[in-house]
Amino acid sequence: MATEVSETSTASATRGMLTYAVVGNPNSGKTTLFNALTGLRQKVANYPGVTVEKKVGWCYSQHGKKIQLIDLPGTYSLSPRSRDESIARDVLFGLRADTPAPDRVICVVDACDLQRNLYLALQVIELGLPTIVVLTMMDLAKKAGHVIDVKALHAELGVPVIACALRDGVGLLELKLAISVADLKPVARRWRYAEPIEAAVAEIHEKLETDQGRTHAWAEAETLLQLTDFGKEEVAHLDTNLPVDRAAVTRWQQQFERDQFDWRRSIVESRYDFTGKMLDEALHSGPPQSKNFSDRVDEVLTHPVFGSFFMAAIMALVFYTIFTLASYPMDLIEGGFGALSEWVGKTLPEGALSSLLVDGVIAGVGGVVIFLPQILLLFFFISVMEESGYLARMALLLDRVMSKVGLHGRSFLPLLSGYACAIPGIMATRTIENERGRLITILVTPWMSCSARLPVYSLLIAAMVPDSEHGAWIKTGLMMAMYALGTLFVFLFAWIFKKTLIKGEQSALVMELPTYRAPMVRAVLGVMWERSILFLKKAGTVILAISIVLWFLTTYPKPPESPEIKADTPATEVVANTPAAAPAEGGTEVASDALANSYAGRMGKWMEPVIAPLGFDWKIGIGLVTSFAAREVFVGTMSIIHNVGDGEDNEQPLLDALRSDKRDDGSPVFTPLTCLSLMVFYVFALQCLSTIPVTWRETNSWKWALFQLGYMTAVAYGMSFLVYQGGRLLGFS
Amino acid sequence: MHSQELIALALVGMAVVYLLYRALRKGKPGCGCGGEGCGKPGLGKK
Repeated sequence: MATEVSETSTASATRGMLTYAVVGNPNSGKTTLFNALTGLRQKVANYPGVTVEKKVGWCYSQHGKKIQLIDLPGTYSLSPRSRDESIARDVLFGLRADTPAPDRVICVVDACDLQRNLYLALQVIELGLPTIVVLTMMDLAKKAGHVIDVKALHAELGVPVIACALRDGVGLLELKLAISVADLKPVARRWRYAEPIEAAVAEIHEKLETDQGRTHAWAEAETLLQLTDFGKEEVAHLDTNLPVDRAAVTRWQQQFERDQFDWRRSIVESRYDFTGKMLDEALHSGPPQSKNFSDRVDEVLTHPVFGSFFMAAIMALVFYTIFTLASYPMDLIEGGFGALSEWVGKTLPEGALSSLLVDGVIAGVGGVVIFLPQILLLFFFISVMEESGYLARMALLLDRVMSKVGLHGRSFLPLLSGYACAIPGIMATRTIENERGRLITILVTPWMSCSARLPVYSLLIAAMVPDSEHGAWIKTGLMMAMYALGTLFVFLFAWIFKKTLIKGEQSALVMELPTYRAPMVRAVLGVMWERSILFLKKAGTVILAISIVLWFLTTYPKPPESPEIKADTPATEVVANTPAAAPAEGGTEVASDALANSYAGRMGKWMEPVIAPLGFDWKIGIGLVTSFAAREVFVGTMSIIHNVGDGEDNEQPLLDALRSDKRDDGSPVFTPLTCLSLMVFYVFALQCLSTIPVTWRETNSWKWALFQLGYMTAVAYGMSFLVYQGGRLLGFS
Repeated sequence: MHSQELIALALVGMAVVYLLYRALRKGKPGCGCGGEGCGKPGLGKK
């Protein structure tokens, strides 16, 4: 193939490993391609300083050489509108100290929307890096009646063009061969801009080329970007790294303004003119199609009434399945930990270490790990909904409500991320361009019931609802109610903030609905694997450490021992000083007194007057405190406390222990009302302390972080109080 | 002190040090979900 070469390749044969950046529009199939090439050979981290996810993976060329791939955040163009898009720009331009400039670029283009996707491809080619264009979703394009002349595209662009349908593995081999080519060269820009633009670029880029040693193409691309972006107030906060001659750019912009020449529009139009002409040759669409499958399904699923019912039904099915299907593996895990506990107890001689391992580590960690199947199922469903394209429809349905309460439609994804964990949800608000909407979303996101709350809800619901014919449905309903309660208050407080503290204009939602497609099994399993590793890692680190510390706090100080009897002590004095033997059934009472005497018990007793109006006792108080490290530690804490309180029977299931737990006055602790009050507290309380510094950083204000902690704690206490005291007034117990 | 108790208390000490390290470390805020990337299931731009 004949390609114009503007200069020698920037690919460094001397550097160790060839690095490709994978770039493309959102939902173009970029991550599918990335996963197809790298498999499990991936590492996920954050870009330092900006906390956008950085995904790096590896694959091997046909010659066996290792190739590194960087999956960049999806972006529509190199003119960023949000923080994550600015990361894509900065990495491609080699402006990040933590990420060397890629040697080559894979530009992913959705074959179903060539006109829009090729815009980014042109900008990438302008960079002067060797580029491969990959057309994805060719199968869907074919179904839509598009006939794409790949050779014509290649001839027009001058770069390799690979057609793929990755879900079926079509094109993967050709892609692997393409990325293995040793002498892939960059190509010169084949499109021209208006003469005034070309004149400005010719002058400005020269300085970058000579003063800063940049390549010709890079300098031109950078100049074009500066001409487009510099001076735009709404993206000024994203323009921190580009080194161009600002004075020259400003001078030319002022000149264009005097000449009444819309240079920004002209640059964009020039690119679209080129892609338009290119597609006249390369794209042939069939006769207008009748509504495709996606459109027909969307008539129902995005209907304001039917769509909402369907969404509620889907969520009910999700939670019902979590309760029923997960119970089988949960019982297995519980049995496994029980057997381990028994073995350790029999193997080690009785003492502090045996107690630590059995009553601390196994009880604490095991009590949390048992919920792994439920969490996996939750993420299975979220992943399926996302892969199939249904999640975007949920965003659309919810936007109708969200826009009325001051939340942006783009808030949906950060909020939905909150169902996994509030922290990535808060970080994901960087995609919200409107600062006011972003702040409101950050403030309310922790009320989306995160996966850490799931074990707490599950335990308390199980304690509330005995197994019965309809028990699973009742449990499902209660679980959904907790999720719905948190979500409802998200909307309520977003509305309150919109009206009071954070007023301002709201921008409209422009959103793309991806075509419906069958979820890729590999992608879904990948997500489940990733989540299970994260969960188990947490169990093996933070939760393990807290369980050990908690064992200490619930065991020490030990109750005072009997005084020593001296050899010459008169017998009458010995009798008088010897404590009466405890009755047989007082063993549990003695253990319970030991717990009350411990550091944890004293702390719980100290805070009990504050939490008593909510129906909580001092043992629950200990659980609330440990939950500040991680919410699910509550379950482990209860395991530890109730194993201690229940004397020697370490195998008594936690549920039985909770149901039989009594207050000092003999009344049960975990009544349905107390369980409900406790769950409501967990819905609203900002217990995960890690959230506070994240809010601080994302809002750049410790005041908003403290405000978030304060108002959420107040609402948690108030709502829990309302539930418990209100329930008692109504005659519930 | 009994040797078992010494070992147990040593483990407690290590756990305390680890928790303090997590609380005081600079840099990333330390996602409560354990992983540095907090692998949200593809939620967000792909």
